[in-house]
Amino acid sequence: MPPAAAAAVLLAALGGGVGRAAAADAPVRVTVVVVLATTTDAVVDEKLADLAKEVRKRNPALSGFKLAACVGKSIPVGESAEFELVEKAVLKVKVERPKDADGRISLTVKPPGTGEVTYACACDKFFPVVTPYKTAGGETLIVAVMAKPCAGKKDKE
Amino acid sequence: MNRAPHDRRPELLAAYADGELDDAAAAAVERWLAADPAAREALAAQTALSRDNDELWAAAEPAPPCPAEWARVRDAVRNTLLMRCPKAAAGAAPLSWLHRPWCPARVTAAVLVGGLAAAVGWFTVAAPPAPPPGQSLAVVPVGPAAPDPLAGWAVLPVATADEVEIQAVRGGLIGSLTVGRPLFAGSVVLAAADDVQFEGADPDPAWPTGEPRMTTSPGDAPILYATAP
Repeated sequence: MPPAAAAAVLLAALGGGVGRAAAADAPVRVTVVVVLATTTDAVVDEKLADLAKEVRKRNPALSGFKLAACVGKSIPVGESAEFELVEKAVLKVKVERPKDADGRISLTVKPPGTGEVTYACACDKFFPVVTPYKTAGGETLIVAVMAKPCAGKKDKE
Repeated sequence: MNRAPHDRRPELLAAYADGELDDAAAAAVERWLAADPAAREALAAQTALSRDNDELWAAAEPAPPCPAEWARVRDAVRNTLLMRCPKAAAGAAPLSWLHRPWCPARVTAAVLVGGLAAAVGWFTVAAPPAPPPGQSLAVVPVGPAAPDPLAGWAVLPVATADEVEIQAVRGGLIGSLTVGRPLFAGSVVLAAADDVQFEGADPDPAWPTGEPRMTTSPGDAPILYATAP
């Protein structure tokens, strides 16, 4: 092989490796939906219908579910970020691993009032946490966490 | 040096001959003429001169005043000003500014001082402060003639969804965004049991069973359910 061709092959190999590394190290987009559940009314936000159904299996007394906030942050793999929820409550999220072969992204979350939990969840799916935090109005704080991207360098909605 | 009396100056005869005197001055000249034959001769000469040289007088320029004449005029002006600005009599009560004699010099000085004070006052109070070094001063007109800041656009440009990153939406604004991609589309889609893998948790009294339970029965969506200890 001529020297010039060998150099080209080497550069191509290095470039491909760099590209794969960049894709693996791309920040993970974490979205947190903040929900306030109450026992004083039965109003359920239509976006929260599935979540309300599953939560009420554990606690039927919670009848009203209100979408209080939605926060999104891009977090590099191995780093953490804090999400302001309501009042002084904060959710801390660390991206442990990017999407694996099974399509799951590993996160460690620290909801208010609980210890840390590490789990891997399919991208673009929400994983709810019913926290022990009660607002000043007596509402139960629920957070639902979702991570992306699911495919490629740029997420397709 | 003998000077002619005030009402018997030769120029009065010339003015009388030309009909330029008022009634009182003309009557005085006539009394002078009645008593003085020399005056009558001078008047006859002036009358002849005036009648024969109207065109010359009309074309002639007045002789410029000599330095002595200028000095006399200046002294007359100075004396007039000083006479109209008398010093307050010793021991007399000071007059208010409204009752003091009219004094052109004082008025002129007051106008000059007042104008200067007004100029200084405008620059120190009304004038805008000088901009810091390196910055220009922007003059923004106000009122109905103020320019329209949106005049440069026929239609306001709106960022596309790819140009806006929504970072947080709270309260009533959720679902009302007009630009950017929503943080999640549609409903909150929960992960199924097969989508989630529990990897570990710190022990915490908030977990009812000592550790988080993802599901309670088959078919349920995994949820971490914590209770107050």
